[in-house]
Amino acid sequence: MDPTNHWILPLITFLPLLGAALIMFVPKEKPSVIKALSILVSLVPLVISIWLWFAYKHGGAQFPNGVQFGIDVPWIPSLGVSFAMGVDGLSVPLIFLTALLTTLSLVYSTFIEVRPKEYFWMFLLLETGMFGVFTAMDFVLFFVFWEVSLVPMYFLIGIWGGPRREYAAIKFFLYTMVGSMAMLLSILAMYFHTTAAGGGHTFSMLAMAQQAMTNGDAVPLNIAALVFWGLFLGFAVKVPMFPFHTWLPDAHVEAPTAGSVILAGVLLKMGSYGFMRVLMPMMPGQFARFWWVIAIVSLIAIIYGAFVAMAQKDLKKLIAYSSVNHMGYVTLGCAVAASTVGTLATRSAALNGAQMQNFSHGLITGALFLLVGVVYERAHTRDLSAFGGLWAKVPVYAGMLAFCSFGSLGLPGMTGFIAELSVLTGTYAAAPILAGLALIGIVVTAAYMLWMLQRVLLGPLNPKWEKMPDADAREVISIAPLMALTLFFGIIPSAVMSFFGNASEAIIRVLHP
Amino acid sequence: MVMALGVFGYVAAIFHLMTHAFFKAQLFLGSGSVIHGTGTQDMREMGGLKKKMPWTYWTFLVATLSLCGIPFITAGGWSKEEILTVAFHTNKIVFWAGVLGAFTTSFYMFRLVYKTFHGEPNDHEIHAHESPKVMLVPLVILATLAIFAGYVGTPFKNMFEHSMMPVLGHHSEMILEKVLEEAQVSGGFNTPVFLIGTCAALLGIFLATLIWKWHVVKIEKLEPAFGWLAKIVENKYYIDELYQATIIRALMLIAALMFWFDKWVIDYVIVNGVGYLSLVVSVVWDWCDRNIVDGLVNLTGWITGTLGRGLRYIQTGVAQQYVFLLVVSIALMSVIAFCVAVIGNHSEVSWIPPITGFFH
Repeated sequence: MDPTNHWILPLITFLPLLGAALIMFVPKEKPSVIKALSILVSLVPLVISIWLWFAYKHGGAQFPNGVQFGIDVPWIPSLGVSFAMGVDGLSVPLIFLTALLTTLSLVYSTFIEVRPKEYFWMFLLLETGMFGVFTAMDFVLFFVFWEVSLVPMYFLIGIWGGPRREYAAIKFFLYTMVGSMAMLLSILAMYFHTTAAGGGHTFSMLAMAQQAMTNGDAVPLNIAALVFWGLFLGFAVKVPMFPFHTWLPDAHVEAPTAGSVILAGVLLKMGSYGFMRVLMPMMPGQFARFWWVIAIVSLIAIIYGAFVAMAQKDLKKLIAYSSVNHMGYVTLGCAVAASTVGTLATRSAALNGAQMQNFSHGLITGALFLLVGVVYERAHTRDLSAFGGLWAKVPVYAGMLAFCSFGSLGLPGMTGFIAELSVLTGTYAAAPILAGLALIGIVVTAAYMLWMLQRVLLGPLNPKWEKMPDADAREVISIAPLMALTLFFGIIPSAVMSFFGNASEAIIRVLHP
Repeated sequence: MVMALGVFGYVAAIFHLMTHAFFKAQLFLGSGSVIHGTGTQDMREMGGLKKKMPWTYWTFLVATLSLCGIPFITAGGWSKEEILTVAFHTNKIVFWAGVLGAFTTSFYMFRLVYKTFHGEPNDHEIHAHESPKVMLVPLVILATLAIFAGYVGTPFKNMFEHSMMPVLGHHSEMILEKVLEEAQVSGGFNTPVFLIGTCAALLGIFLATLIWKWHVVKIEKLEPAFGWLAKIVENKYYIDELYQATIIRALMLIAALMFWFDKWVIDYVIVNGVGYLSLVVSVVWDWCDRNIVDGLVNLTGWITGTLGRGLRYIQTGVAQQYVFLLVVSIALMSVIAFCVAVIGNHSEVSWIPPITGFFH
């Protein structure tokens, strides 16, 4: 349990890639070997991520001064690029979430028969990309992994997706690219205004954040706003924030089930992680200046996302729009944490809540997308009006769907409630009107979730589903752990919030020196 | 209960909350027992259950009497009494509303009792049976409490009020006392209140008995007079319809509008619009590229080609022609050089050799 272990982060990041390379050597006529091998390979990062969870030393210095398990070796010295990795309270829970969701998605995906070799290969490559984003401490490295995670998802949607998969895949790719390019430009601007200890510019995220601590922003004031909005665009598309969210329903609906799980569970979190890792510590002056813009846009996402979800007739699209609604709390928490009103405690509460919502949404929405997949595989439709009365027919499935829906609408006792409570506490302190309006979103969320349950599970049974089988072992194994964790962290939130507290305070101290 | 709170009767409110818990719980469990025994929830199909379900009947009757607030023998009697007394001293309108409530409660509860347990079974398909002990024991316990739980809070020796003091504090009771002092009356047993409250309950029971037990008044005859009331009540005062027509419809409309906006404005006009615009730009660009940029390239090639084709006629490979051209060229150049030298006298063109010396 040595927090100074340098090799643990490169190991966890590149192990899936190694596994992907191994899979290339398995002949494609042996899909069961490929599937078993991928699941085995993905178990190793899962074990390491759990180890990381417990080995991480709480209460230590946070980003930018202190990251744990750090490694920093020169990569392209002439450009000031180094292979730098490290984790703090922001990233450890997300690394665990990534590892867990990947393993569960792979278990769930064992039924895939179309080109399983490529599918599992892509999935492991995707895992490397996601780990890389959450561990990178150098902007070039960060950007490389950011883009690496895009490619496998493009193919996962484009090859194994639904009827409109080509449209959804290219929309997902291009939309994110637009954001990435704006982000890249901003990164370059920061690069040219950051000087390393030994002279010369550097892409080190630590150095940039440190510079922001002394200067108020990582770049001079005359370009600060532009750089801020460039970074903002990059992350806002990924979150996705209103009005950059319309790639999401298409991508989610067309993606294969496991793809939707990773998309909602991890890829969206990369956006909000960017908010907390990059935008807030590196552009604190601008973030504090524009917090209300982000707060209002988040509020729109919360209310608007909830209403649009309510209007959906497609089960998967409903869950997709619920992501817009739920991720709104994450960005709202971030915005409020930068507000000039309230106290350190209320701002911390907001940012803790934002991180909690990030984590919680990964668990709950991941499970919900798996559940949508379960019923879709049986019924081959997601039309809400085609269902009804399933509770008596498939009680295990119905129980899981009800559990996760209640988690999603923020039932006390589950993670979503803790997250929303924290965010709203902080929001109320900053601007009571924002908290009051956000409550509209909560009520509408409850309405569309319960209405969805009613239309799928209650009422008269559609005779078409007379022979629908209940959830099988594979499905229960891939969903139950998420439910258990939702409940566990809902009852004992400190088990995960202990990671957030220090990180939040560190960020807020940068925002309000 | 809430009414009692409104007239500062905090103790009375909590007291009624407690007695209400016992008799209302009994009534729900009793109804459950009936539903279990008959297999239906429709009162119109029941009747005559008294003989078949005696335990359920007697415990239900006790709880009903408690709910009606029959004095001295039931818990509900004491707590209702206390609330009405407080209301009597503080607000007469509330008091009379409470009396009206007591009357209607007794009326509809005894209608229920008569229609369910008395008379003859209305549906002979139903073979009612008494519920098992596991259901009856709670009924008996709750019915017992529906009688005896009231004795802790009689107006003569109110132990309940005493036990509530540490919780509510003296402050709340002081408000009531102040109100009572201003009205120059005292709490405790009040004969007019007792008589009015009891009469209201008994009147309700009496009317219900006239209609549904003795059949002295035929319900059909009341139809023209009270039909409109029945219709409104049957539809729960149309509150659900009101919600459906206003809030729910408005919410669904907002949801539909927002989705329309999302689908057509944001996604179609803006996002797809940007995509389409890029496509248009790319087509225009392609045209420019093919016709202007590449056109220039081709123009260069064309000029070169044309020049080449033109000059090809000179390149004949015949030596005599070449020599001829050589001589003509030299002659032409000499003439030009000569002219330049003569006209300019001083040649400033450096590439022409100084030819002045040539002629001297």
